[in-house]
Formats: sequence, structure tokens, C-alpha cells
Amino acid sequence: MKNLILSLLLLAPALAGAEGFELMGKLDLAGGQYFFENQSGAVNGYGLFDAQLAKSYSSSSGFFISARSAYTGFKQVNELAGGGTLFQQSLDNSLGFKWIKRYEGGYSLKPRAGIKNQLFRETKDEKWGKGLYDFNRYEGGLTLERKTRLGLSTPWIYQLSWDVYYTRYARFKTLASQYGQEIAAPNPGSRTLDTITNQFSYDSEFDLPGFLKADVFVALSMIGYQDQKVINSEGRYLSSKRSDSYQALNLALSKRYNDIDILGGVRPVMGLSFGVSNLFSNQNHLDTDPAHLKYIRGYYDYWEARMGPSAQFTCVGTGFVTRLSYEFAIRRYGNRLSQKGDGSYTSSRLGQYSGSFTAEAVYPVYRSIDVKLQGNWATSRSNNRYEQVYRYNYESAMYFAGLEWRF
Amino acid sequence: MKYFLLLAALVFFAQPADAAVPRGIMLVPSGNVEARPDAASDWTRVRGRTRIAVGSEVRTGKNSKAGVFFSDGSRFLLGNNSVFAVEDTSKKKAGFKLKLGRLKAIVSGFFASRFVVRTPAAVCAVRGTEFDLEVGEDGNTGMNVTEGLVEVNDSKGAMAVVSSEEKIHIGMDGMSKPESMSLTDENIGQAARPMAVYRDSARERTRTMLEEMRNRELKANESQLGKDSIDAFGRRVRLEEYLLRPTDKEFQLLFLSRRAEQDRLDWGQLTERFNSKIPDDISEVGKIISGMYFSRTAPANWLTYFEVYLTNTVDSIKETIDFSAPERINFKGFTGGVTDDFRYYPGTIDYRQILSGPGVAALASAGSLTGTGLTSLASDERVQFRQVQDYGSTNASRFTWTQKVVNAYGILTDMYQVTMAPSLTAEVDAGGIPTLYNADIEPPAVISYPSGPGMADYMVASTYADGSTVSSRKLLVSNEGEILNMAGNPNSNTFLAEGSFNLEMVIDSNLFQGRNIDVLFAPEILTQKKDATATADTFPID
Repeated sequence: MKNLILSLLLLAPALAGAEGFELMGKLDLAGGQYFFENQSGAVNGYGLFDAQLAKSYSSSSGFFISARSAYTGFKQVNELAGGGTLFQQSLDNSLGFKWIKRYEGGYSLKPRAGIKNQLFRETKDEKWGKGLYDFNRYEGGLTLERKTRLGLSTPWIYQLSWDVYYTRYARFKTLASQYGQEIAAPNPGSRTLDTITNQFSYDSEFDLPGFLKADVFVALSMIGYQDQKVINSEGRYLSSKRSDSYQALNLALSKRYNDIDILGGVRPVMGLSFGVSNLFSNQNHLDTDPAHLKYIRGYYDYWEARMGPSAQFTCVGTGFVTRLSYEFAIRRYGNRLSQKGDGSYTSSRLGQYSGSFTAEAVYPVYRSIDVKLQGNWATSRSNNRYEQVYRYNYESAMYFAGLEWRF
Repeated sequence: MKYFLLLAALVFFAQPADAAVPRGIMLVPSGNVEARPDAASDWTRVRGRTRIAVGSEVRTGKNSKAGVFFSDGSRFLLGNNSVFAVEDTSKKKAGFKLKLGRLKAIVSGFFASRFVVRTPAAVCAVRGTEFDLEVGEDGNTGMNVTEGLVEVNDSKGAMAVVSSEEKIHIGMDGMSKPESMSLTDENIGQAARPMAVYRDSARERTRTMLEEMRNRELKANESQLGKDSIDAFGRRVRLEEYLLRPTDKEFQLLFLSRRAEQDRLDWGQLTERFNSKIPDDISEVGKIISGMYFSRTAPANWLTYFEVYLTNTVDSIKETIDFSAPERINFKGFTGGVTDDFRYYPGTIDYRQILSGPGVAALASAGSLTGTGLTSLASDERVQFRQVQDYGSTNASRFTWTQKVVNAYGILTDMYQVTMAPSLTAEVDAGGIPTLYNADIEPPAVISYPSGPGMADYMVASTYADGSTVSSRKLLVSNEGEILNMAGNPNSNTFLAEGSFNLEMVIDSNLFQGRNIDVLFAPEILTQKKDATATADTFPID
């Protein structure tokens, strides 16, 4: 996979020079650091290459290949925090192909295929390619797009998409499946994290008058766990497999306002997003802690709401861009009970409240090269006080600084 | 963090980059092109590159055209017979007027969102990036947007956002509804043009983000269920626990610790077997166990066998406890709240520590049943230590407490025996009557703190008369592999408490031939073992 992407990257300039090919993308090089509570991870590097190579045959047909390769030498706040380690390095390579076929009347059909490989080093003794949560993801999809109008004033683009993802954790097998025969362990399944997801989504974009942009996104995902058996209240694994359904609705608005007459002109763009989602699962859970053995039906079910304001300020004269955003999320589990500090269960459902603030500054230093700084601060609070194996109440932060070249 | 703040300050106070600011407008003629600095001046033929400024007007003749270039990369291409004016290029607005003719605008950089082009019939505010305008003699305006968005206002006050690959006609009497261009239109863009690819990639990322979040969720769930940790030695450990119900009278908890990098598996199991059927809801068994001790009424069910087994798949240590049925005993006068009554208490509590493995198999004493009270033992097993507490069997109406350890030949031999009455309020050492003590075979126990004082790292090592050693090291370790820093030195009770740390237990013996057993498991297993082995006078076994 890595060699394939490398070959493509080397070939890309040559292809881009070929007739009808266009190459676009960006290259980021930065350094950064992660903080969890009062601990700090080491300063390490970040590199991202993200490029698309496009070829059009006509106004009605064409394709593009996308390649992305990212190395992150430090942890990011959107990664697993509560149960994770301070140390994390990841390497993510992906390759995609999309065909574009357009029809009269604003219709388009866009089939696609892709593959992604993600590697993690989460302890210093783990070698690249040996990470427990390394995975390959094989993707396919088909999008029907319609470009039309809503009345006289507003352009409207909507997309109906079906995406399928097969995620295979190459190195993750249950221990029971590896050693079960020797130790008379039950059979929970072997590759319990491998999934096939069928996702159906609807996305609408409206460019409203007054430089107002609205976006509506709805998704329904059916997630089939290929080899994770459902557990019952006696601790027995049934022949039926885990199956989840996930629903999400996201709404987003952004508006560009008139320039403010300070610092040679500052152009503000304000945004607000709102999202709700929920997950239903047929999987249950049996807590085998001897002091508080507990069976919980529908252990994974939850609903979640998110809201986030954002602001972008562009100094017209210098090109200096500042972006600020905050997101607040509430998650409530339908059946999972919160636990006291000693692990005993309460009668209240587990809830989690998280907030995340991001500040970003981008400054153009030369043509398509920007200096970029970003800081993230995140907090998590929960009514779950049992934190022996996972932290539900914490603060984390990260920053990175570097250069971005757009081409 | 200080580096971040420094860099932020440097960027914030940095001077503007020259390349980023559009400073001038360059006119490049082709054919008969004329310009003038303002509307009152005369037209002058432009023959080469010429800088123009606000107020300037440009007109092109028959079969002629002109380019108007901005330093940020934006540009206008004027068609033949066109009249064009630069109205404003302040930092707030870039305003232009096409009075007549055709104009192709390709807008990028900092002008991209503040371009306004007026025609006699329309005002077109540009949101980026590429469009064509055509103004007729009568002022009617036609516009094709190749890329980006243009907000158009007509003279009647109507307004429409025109997006890429749409066209609109704006007459002096108002605008028509924008229409999509045909795929055969000369102004239509290519199917995989850069902006379309960019937008499509962004939408695809939004959809794929859901799957990315699910991947993170899976990982979080594994952590929430305690399946993944770092041990005290910085090694990643995967943990799994299972509940098994071999019969309706017993259950087993199986716990596995796998270190992939070292290619080792350590595992263990807790077994609890009862006298009769236990409830399906396994959380009820705690009440059965607590009902065995000091109950006023005869327990309906009780624990008959308890076992903790730990192994590295080659060597193992097994601790077993056999219980007989609770008996009615007069505890009057006994401490712990029993003041005036008969209570039920197990008649016998028989604890054994059994080692096994190739090192044990090589011993002459391997498989010896002497003193074990067992009827069979595997050829690679040996009982290293045994403690029996009985009521009324050895001495009538008395508790008799006996410890046996291996002697110099590896044979289990009585080391210590104490007899006591149930009414005694003192502990064994203080109030019991020693009837036997063999100091020669008592294994000296050495307590140490391998990580130093103030750390939750506690080791007890015993050396037996035959030279065999057994050590038990307990550590409280965070998910990141940090050993708990604590006030004072730990003791065996330190590791019974719940908290935000994992319990790691390392068992070593010189009979394990250089290997050890290293498992992470719930501290409650230790708690249960302690509860199950507590003698009537609360004498701790370990």
C-alpha cells in the first residue's frame, strides 16, 4: 500500500504534465505537542500530503484520483483520550478513485472506490505495522447529484449517496479465539472489530442571498460486525452477530458579513452548526468485575447532540486569517449506568459532556505558502466516577505549528 | 506550549507579505485598445503594458481585446467592442463597470470575495471565481458563471445568487430565472475541473468522517471495557475477561493478558463453586458468600470451592480453598459484633497453594500427596503451602488453625498450629494456644518496595526450607503504565482498594526456570480471596 502511494506520488507530476491532467493539493509540515491533564507528550512532527489528480474527457465525463498521506507524531485531541496513552504516532495512507458522469438537467452520477491504511504506534515498544489498532479500510460508493435552484434566488445542490466501508483490523483478534481451545474460553468471535458499514446519506447545500450558506446532512448507517457475537445475561455468546444502526442529522449555517474597518479591513464569517445523532445496537454487556457483576442490555445505545459556533476573520490587507470555533456535545447512553468511584452501579444513565475550543491562525508568507498555527483545548465531564480503566473526566490540549503549501 | 505562544506572537505581529496585497492593475492590449485616466479625459491608444488606476476607462475596438491583470492573480479579459471602467480598488471593495461588450472575469486571491461588477442593468457581487459578462447596446446584460458564485441585483430590486455553470439574463426591466448551462454550451466547464474536484472531495470527507468517528468509537469502547492497557514495564497489554458457567452451581471468570511484542500470554481464572444452584444473575452470589459467615440462620447455599489460577502457559500457581458446610457455633464474646448468639460459620476452610511447571516436575517431591489432604496431584504439581482452619474436628468446640509448608525435602509438613475458642476476642497471636511450632521450616518472608518508597509496588518473597522461593509482587499502574505514587509505603491492603489504577501481579519462583507470571486483573479478585480466606479471628493469610 505504502509503495503504491509512493509510486503514485512520484508519478503524479509526470501525469500532471500530461495532456488534460490537473494536479492540485497541499503539503503541510509542522510540529506539535499533546497535553493530558498535567502531563505533556513529547514535541514531534506532523506531515500531510493531500493531492488530487484530475482528468476530464469532456464536460460530461472525467475522473480524479486522490492520494493522502499523513504522519502525526503526537496525539490529537479528537483521538481517544480517556483510555489512551500520552504517546501516539500514526501514519495514514489513502488512495481513491472517482468517476464523474454528468447529464443534462444538472444531474451527475459519481461512483467511487478507495482504500485506506492506518497505522498506529501507541506504546514505545510497538513497531510500525505492528499496532494493535492498525486497520485497512476498503471503500466504495455511488453518489447521485442534482444541481438545481430553490426559487429565483438560491442555487441548490443535493446529493444522495450510498457508501460502503469494509474495515479490517489486521492484527486484532480476540485472545479467546487465539487461545480459547487451550483454556476452555468461550467463543466471542475472532475479529470482533471488523465491520461492514452501509451508509445512506443526503446532503443539501443552499447558497442563500446575503452571502449566507446553509447545509443539511442526514445519514443512516447500518453497521454489521462480521465476527462479534451477541452476549446474553448468562455470559453466553449467541450465534447472532452484533449489528448497529446509526442516524445523524447535521445543520450548518455560515454568513459573510461586511468588512470591519479596522486593521486595514477585516472580513468576518460567522458560522453555527447543530447536530443530533443516535446509535442503536443489539449488543449487550456483562461486567465481569467480581465485585459488581452486571448485565446491561443495549449497552452501546446512545443519543448525542452537538452545537458549535465558529468565526473566521480575514485581514484583507495582509491575508492573515484567524479561525475560532467551539463545540459542545452531550451524550446520553440509553441503558449504560453510571458508576460510583468504587465501581458500584448507580441507577442513573451514563452521560458525558464535552467541549472543544479550537483557535487557528494562518498567515501567507509567500504566494501559496502559509504559516499555520493551531491550538485545541478539550474538556470532558461525566456523571461516571469509576475511572479505573477509562477516564471520563479530563482536560486535554494540543498545538501544532508549521507551513502549508497549496498547489 | 511556550513555543506555540512565541510562534503565535511572531505571526500576529508580522508585517504584511508583499505578494499578498494587490497593489496595481496592469492593462495588456491586443489590437486596437484605448484608455483614459478618467471619463473627462481623451482616449489614448494603448500599445503595450500600461498601469491603470481608479477612474480609468478602457475600450476595445473591432477584432481587439485586452487583459486587465491584478497582482493577486485575478484578471479580466475584455472582448471586442467593450467599454470597461475601474471604479474602486480600495481595501473594502473592488468595483468595476462593464458599460458595453464582453468581459470574462477570473477572480482569485484577496479580491475573490469583494469584486463588484456593474452593468447598466445589473450589479454583480462576486464570491469567486470565473464568469462571463456581456452587455448590449441597450444595456441588457447576459452572464455565464463558469465557476463560483455571483450575487446579481437588477434594477427592479430582485436578487439572485448565480452559481457555477448557470446563466442569467438581466434586462433593463429585470432579471430572468437563472438556468443551468447545457453540457454542450461553450461556457460549460470540464467534468473534473479543479473547483468541482475540490468541492466533491470536501463532501466525501464529510461522509467518510462518520466512519472515522466510528473507528475511534470502537477503540474507545475497548478502552472503556478495560481491554487495553500499558503495564508497569511499558509494555502494551491486551486484556480480556469472560464469565463462564460450567454448571448451574458454579461460575468462572477467565482473564487473559497478552503482550504481543513479547509474544507472551499470561492468563488466569477465578472459580467459585457452590453447594446448590446459583442465580442466573451472577451479581447475586455476593450475598450467598456473605451469608456463610456469622449468619443467624442456616444458609440455604454456600461456597464449597474457590480457586485462583495464574499461569504464563508453562508455569502456574494455583490457590484453592475448600469449604465445608456452615456449622452452628456459639460465638458469644467474640469480637466483631457477635455478643450473645449462635451463628453459622464454615466448619472447615482449607487453603492450598500449588505450584506447577517443568521446574516443579523435576523435583523429587513433585506430585507428593503427603500432608495435602488431596487424593490426587499431577506429576508436575506440588503443594507448597497449606492452611487449614477447622471447628470441632481436631479439638472439640474449638477452632484449630494449622499451617503446613514444604520441609527441606519438599514434603508438606506441619509448621504451626493454634487452638482457640470461638469466644476469644483476641487475635491468634495474642489469645490462641500454640500447640505446635517448627521454626526450622518457617520460610522467612522478605518485604521490599522495588520502585522505592512512596510507590505502589510491593513485593513479598519467601524462601522455603528446601531452597525453593516464591515471590509475589503487586503494582498499581495507570493506563499509561505509570506506577501510583502514594503517601507512605504500600502493604497488602493497598491493592484491595478500587481506584483509577490497574492491578498488576507478578509471581516468580526459582522453580519457574527464569520465567515469571505477569497478569493484570481486577483488584476485586484479591479482595474476594482475602474475604474467602479470612479466618474466624480475622487473621490474614497473606
